[in-house]
Amino acid sequence: MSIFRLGLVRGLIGGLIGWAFGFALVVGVRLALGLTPQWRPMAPGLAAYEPAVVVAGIFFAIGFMLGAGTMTDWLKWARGIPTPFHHGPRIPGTPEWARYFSVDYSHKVIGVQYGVTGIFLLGVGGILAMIFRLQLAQPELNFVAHDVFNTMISAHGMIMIGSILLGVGAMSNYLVPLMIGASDMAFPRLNAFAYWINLPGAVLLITAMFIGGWNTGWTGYPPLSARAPLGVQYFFLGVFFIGLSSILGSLNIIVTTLRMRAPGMTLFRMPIFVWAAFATAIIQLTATQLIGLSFLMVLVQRILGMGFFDPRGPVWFEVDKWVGGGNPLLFQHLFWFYSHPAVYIFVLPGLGIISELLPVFARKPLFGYKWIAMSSMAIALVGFLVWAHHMFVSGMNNYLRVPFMFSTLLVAVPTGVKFFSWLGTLWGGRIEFKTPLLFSLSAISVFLIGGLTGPPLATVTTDLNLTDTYYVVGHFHATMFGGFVFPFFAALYYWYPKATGRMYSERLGQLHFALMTPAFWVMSLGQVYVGMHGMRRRVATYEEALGIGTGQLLITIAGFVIFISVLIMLYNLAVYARRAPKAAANPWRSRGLEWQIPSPVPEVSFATTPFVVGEPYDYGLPGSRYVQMAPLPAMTGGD
Amino acid sequence: MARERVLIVSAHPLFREGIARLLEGQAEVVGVVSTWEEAKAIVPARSPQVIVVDHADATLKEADLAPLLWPDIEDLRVIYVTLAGDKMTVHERHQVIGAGEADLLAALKGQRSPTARAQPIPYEGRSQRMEKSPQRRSYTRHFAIVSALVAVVGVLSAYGLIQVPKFTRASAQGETVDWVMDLHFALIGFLFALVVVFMLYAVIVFRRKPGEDGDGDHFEGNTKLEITWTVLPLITVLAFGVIGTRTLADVTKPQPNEMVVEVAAFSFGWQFSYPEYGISNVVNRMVVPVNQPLLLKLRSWDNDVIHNFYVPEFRVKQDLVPGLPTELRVTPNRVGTYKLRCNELCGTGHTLMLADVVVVERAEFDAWVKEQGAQLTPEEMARRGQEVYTGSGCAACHNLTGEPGLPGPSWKGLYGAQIALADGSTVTADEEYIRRSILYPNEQIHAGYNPGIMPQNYGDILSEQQIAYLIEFIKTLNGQHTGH
Repeated sequence: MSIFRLGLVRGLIGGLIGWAFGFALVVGVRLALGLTPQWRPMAPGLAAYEPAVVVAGIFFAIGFMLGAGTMTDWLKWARGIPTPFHHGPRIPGTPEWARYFSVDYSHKVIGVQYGVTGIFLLGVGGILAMIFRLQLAQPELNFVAHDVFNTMISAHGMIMIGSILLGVGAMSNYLVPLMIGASDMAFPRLNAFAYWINLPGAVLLITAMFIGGWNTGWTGYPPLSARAPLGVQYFFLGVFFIGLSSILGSLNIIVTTLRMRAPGMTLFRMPIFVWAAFATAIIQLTATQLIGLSFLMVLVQRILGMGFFDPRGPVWFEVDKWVGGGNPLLFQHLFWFYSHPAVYIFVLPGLGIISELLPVFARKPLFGYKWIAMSSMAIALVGFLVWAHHMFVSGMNNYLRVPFMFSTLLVAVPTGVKFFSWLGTLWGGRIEFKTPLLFSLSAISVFLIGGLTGPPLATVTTDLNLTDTYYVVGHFHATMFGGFVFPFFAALYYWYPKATGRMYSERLGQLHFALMTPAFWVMSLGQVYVGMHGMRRRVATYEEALGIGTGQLLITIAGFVIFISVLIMLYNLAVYARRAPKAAANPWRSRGLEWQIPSPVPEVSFATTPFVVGEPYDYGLPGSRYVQMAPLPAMTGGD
Repeated sequence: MARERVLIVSAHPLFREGIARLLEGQAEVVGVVSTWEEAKAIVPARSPQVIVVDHADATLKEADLAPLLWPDIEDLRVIYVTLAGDKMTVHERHQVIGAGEADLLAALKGQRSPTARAQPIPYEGRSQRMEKSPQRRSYTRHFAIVSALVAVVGVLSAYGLIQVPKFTRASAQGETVDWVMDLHFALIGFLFALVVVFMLYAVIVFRRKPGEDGDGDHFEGNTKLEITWTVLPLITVLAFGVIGTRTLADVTKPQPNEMVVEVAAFSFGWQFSYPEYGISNVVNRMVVPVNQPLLLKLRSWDNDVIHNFYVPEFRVKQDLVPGLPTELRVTPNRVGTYKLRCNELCGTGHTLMLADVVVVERAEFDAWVKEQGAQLTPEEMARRGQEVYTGSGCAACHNLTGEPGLPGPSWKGLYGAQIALADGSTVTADEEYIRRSILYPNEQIHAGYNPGIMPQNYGDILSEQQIAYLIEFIKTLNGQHTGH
């Protein structure tokens, strides 16, 4: 099979054509207007052509999506040609492996695509972290130039966020339809589009590092981002497209959850992960626009001179009359209105995974199912009311600090409900120490560090000291790892036999656990400690006199241990398990719907309609069942 | 009214015969079978309206699905009957609807609700709940042990966290901040112990022992507990909110006899002015008397970026925002030299955007003030010029060695030299030329260099005094003075 039939290759070719078209379009218009082809003749390289480069980036994404074939069916509909949905490869005759490199409408293929892309970005972000952590391992090391360092931390931040969003997409796309007994997502074509738009987004994000980089941090605050190198524009565009994926993907999750549940599955009989994915999707659908908007506004401020966030107001090149009216703080409000709830987008699915796995391995009902489900919704709601706690020292009015302090502290309440309910679930169980459970326990301990370091940041008085120091770095890495990375790894191990039909090596899995968990504690607590001893966030080096060299060295070593342990996992899943024995159909003796069907899941997931006849987590209740498959038609004895 | 068509399903012959006899004359028994498989085989042909199922026969629960399997059979219902001793219990959709023969007959004839088919799927799980699971253990002893452990570990970890040496503290506000932090540490220590000890205890005590295959105890939750661990944290966080509000008021409260220091940040340095003493634009060095409440008036230039004023020893910080003047109050209470660190990423020079903050005794401060006003020797002016050179960003583009390669011309041998300009003319680099080149960098472009590179806001950033220092410094680069 020719590689030119693969959607990925076609997409890249289409993207390059689109890029060239967009670039030529702007340069052509400039020439037609009698202007120089360059926009800023003195700037070096591509930066001289910034508007052309930006438009080219947009056309790159459009060309990519057309080339990959994500819009083929829609374009046919526009011309009145029907394209009935059928299971199996979108283009008949495509070999199985090639489906994963092309546009495919099966949620199982898309889920795997999300997951693999997410892990790839996790690797890119991780390598960046390893490089700059080397620089920070000892005082006054300067082998990475400071502007390169700034680009690396900025890229690390946003690439990891992209990676997490893709990981969340992987879990919700693969699991939600299987868990609720749906044949697929509600809008399979939109689902494919939502995945594929991530790819031009990721390409732009990575390209940004090589066209000047950007020294703004992932937050991209203007005025700094309004005058950062050219790379910041592709950073904005990349985030914009990845955000678009979030919006479209969440729409699908919400409709699928509300409309496509198996008969008998009332809302309170849904698996708890589905609740988490549902709450997450509500945030994604409602908040993501704001980061796209805020970045778009800086993008046009740069190339059209619209000074939304510039106190001088609109600034046209070589015009020095300033009219005022712009405000740097406006950006921060818009930005954090997404970027705080975004934290809950990252962690709610992971917390759902913890709640999902504990009952299976403790062989007990989930303690306080409804409370956990409602706590996810409560976090999603309260999460919208806290954004300005990122701005306690921003220059925002002093009195606004107080309501946001209270609303932020309130988040602790539903989060606490989750912790206590997990303890209730473990209590009195018959706990089996398999890798997925071990990672769930790590996740609880690490998320606990993240959670407990939160209130000092929520309380303005202590935040005055702690904000923008390495303490914050420690806090949110613990939150991200406890709320996403550890549960995501637990989910990978747990559903790996479901997706592939093979069993990974339990020993390697436990080795991964034994390396990563203590290493993360050291890293996280080290970060908190150096942050309270003068280490600022986002600095390329620090002086010996601060006396934090040992702490920094430990953080770096721990970081490398984590990196190596993740490589062990990749070896385990990608190499070892391929020649491993076939997994049992339901190796965890789970009651979940997805485990009542063969592994790997057949093309048509459910041969007959599943009926939900009981509670999802009634482990330990003899004779009870969660789901009942309708018999195959041949067995009913009818004609 | 027509008699109901009834199918009886039970593995037990006495049940089958008993029910069939009971219904004789009351209903039309269309079939009596012993397994669900048999029932499935005959349902389409005999189209019963009611299937009476032996509830003791656990294998028959698939019968729940009957109405869904044959949606074309009108009014197909499933009624479960439990026979125990001499008692009979009748269930429909797992709801007990009666306990006796009359109830069964009533159930058979019972008027069906027209919406019955839209009812939820029969609910299986909870109907068989036993009041108390036989394998449920007593936890009293475990709770006693774990509570004791939580108490001990909680006190130890809270104490340990508070005892971790804190970074040097040098302000009155810092004492309040550290006090609130200790309060947080106490809570963190306790909660950490609560969750970790509970979790470790549970996973150790309730682990699966080798050979065990059973399930854990069956309990689904406890509403009282859930309410408790919702309300107690709620009260706690509200208390912390109140404490946070009051202490915030403390650390931002105006003090009597405040001394104003104007702090201006630029990429990448700091300037300090003391309007009450007529001292302006001291670069990268803030000298203040100890125990003197300070009101820092903070600003960043309109064409600059956001910076942040943070001296870790002071424990408080504040952004400096273009176009938005901000304030910070701090009362240094410990003599020493500290570092002001820009704490908001501001570009390439962010890491090194530092300034010395020198807290001295009042007498020493007065001496420093006097010194600022004194007539300076050219050497002293040149020395300060060099500070401006390194502290105000000049060094990024202008070297002192005469080598090419940087965006701006070298300053070595600049003073008094004949400069070829981009427009072909030449000019002598005298004091006025250097001054105008700093203030209006695009006016006269040095041949071989690009216009528009040098920021045009040095007129705002540098005082006339500092420009004079710079010129004195540039003069020394020709060897007119000692030094370079």
